[in-house]
Amino acid sequence: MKRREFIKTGIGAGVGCGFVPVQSLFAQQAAGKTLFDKIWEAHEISFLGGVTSVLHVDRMMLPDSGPSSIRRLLQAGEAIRNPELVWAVADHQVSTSPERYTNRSLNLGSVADEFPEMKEQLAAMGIQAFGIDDPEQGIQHVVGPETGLTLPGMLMVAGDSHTCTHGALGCVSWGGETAQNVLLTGTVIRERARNLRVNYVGALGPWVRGKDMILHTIGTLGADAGNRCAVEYAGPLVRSLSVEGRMTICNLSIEMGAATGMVAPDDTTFEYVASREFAPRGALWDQALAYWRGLPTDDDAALYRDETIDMTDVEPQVTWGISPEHVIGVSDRIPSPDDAPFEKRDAWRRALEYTRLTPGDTIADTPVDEVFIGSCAESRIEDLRAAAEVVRGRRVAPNVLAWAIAGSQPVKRQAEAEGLDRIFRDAGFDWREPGCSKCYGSNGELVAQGKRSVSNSNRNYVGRQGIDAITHLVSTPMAAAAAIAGRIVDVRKLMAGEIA
Amino acid sequence: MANGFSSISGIAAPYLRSDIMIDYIAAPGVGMHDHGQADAEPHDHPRPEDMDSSTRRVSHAFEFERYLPDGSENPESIFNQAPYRNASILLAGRNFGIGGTHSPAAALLLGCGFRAVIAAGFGPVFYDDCIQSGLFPVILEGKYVRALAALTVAAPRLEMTVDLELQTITRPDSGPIPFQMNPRLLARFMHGLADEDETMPFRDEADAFREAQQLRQPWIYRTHGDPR
Repeated sequence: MKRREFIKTGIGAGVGCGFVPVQSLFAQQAAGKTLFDKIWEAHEISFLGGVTSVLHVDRMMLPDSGPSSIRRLLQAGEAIRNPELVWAVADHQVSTSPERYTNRSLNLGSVADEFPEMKEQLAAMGIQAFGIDDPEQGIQHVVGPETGLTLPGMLMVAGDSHTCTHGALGCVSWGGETAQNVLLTGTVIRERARNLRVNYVGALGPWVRGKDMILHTIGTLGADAGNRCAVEYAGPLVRSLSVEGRMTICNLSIEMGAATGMVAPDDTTFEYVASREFAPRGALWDQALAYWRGLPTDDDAALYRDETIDMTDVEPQVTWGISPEHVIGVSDRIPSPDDAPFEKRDAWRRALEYTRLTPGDTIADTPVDEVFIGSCAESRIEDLRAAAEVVRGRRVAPNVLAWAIAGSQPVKRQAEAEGLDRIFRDAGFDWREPGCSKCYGSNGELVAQGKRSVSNSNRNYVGRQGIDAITHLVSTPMAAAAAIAGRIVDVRKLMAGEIA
Repeated sequence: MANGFSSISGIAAPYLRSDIMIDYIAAPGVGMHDHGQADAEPHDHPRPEDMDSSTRRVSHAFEFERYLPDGSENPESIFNQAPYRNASILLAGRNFGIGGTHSPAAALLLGCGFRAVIAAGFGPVFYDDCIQSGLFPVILEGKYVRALAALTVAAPRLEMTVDLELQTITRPDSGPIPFQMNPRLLARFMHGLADEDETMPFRDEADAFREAQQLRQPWIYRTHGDPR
């Protein structure tokens, strides 16, 4: 409390720099802060009482609908506050068809027609923009970390709800902000979230990945467990994950209702960030690194809630319903609403009605019509490699429509350099261009009406991927296995040759 | 930004099921981004007018239960029954509007006449959407919501009043029930403010912050000087 009054006084008195007192007080207070609190406080422009603050934004990501908001601002004669901190990428409104470059009408919305022109305007304003023809184009939550536009310690915001993905690098990131406000003021006004830490212990079994960790967590704690919380994923299992795996975990934080998700930066992070295109170099790198090393949560930090998830014996996960919390292990049977907590029975009944599954049946062997590998949850090189390992030398089952989509052009180039595209194509997968669309059923890229899709994405809501379409969320290798078998199968059994 | 109000009176509709997902109020996804979405922002906030019945059947709140597969009204749905079909206040259960995505649900509820929702808890994203859209969200302990629902069922045509200034809910047949709300959000709702209305006054402080941060953490600003 004292600290905050100090900041406010400092600014009010026209000291000109509201931050310096915070830093000096950091030095005085030996410990007791979380990663989230440190980053929040380092961006506090003004504390408004209660838990509300006005915060400085280090990065604003405009989605491809953003240029319109910029155009509106320009027409209104308003200045964009910190254009060098804003970037834009075409992802939601682009087709993933390989023909999208020649047949621009495949792309919906303004991007295809207007982005080249907008891009010039954006560039003139100092805004970095990646259009459909740019070598860095991709899904924003893949592009940010990959280009080094996302860095540890930052506060980054966007409209898109999966912005929480970037927290894997040890920054604070959230969606739901309006471009209008951030462009005009370079700030956001928010209520401070509470600290929820999820500690992962135990060991990951074969073919159990970050996706299974987070799905199991949401199943265990509930889809509302993260309400008003910043979730920090911690523990030795998280430390052992690559940054890509951490991004998958953070990506689904919003599916737990969380304000954001994050992983403390460590050597794995720094190694990932170093040499990225927009990452600092030389002396600036050293300066940044020294700062980033001070970000992890202090041992004696106070937490709102501390949970431990034991991954021992946790199987590859599969959702059976219409919420990410409707999740079981691949050997489990479909649960009965009668076994649900009383207040969830109704929801479970509705879920099973929608997914047309019968309690008591195994989730395994459920026939599938489509398989979707793509999305901001898992479409990075490591995910594609894992899927390719499953697919290699096998064929997609007849009557299954299987798509594989790299999350960005760099991921796609890397995959092609490694020959992964050949593996997917030879097996009968469609190898497509980076973009979001089938994950949320846009640009005409839908799961066919009433069909069942096994997807490595993050949302299985009613109608998410298509009208009456059913989505089973799984990890990328599990999705690949389903494509091969034509039904939901345990990837471990497929790889052990126990499934024909 | 929607216009705010300081009081609303009307018929209440009791709908106390828990864990109503935001997608049950308004199914997301398909087609929503296909219509004039370029101007919608944040981009997963489609507006009701962006949705077209030819690509997307969802144009009403609770469409799944209000309409039968043949398109006719489902008489069993409370929203189709008198006097509730004219309700402007919705009494809801626990975790109303859960599911972590921005959605047109609040706008659709406004579109079918609701101005306030009284629930035993909200999905956090939906709660924010309500405030943004002009649908007033009241969090009330479950036992009070149930009591209000019981009064409503007993005398459905008696009007309920949600008074934002007094922070009370009243009916002619009951005393005022107080509710709590974050004062900033309450003021913001009543005056119909957007984020920029609240952050604009801090622009000078933001500039000062930026100057200090450029000295302290220059790497944040070095995104365009690097060779490509």
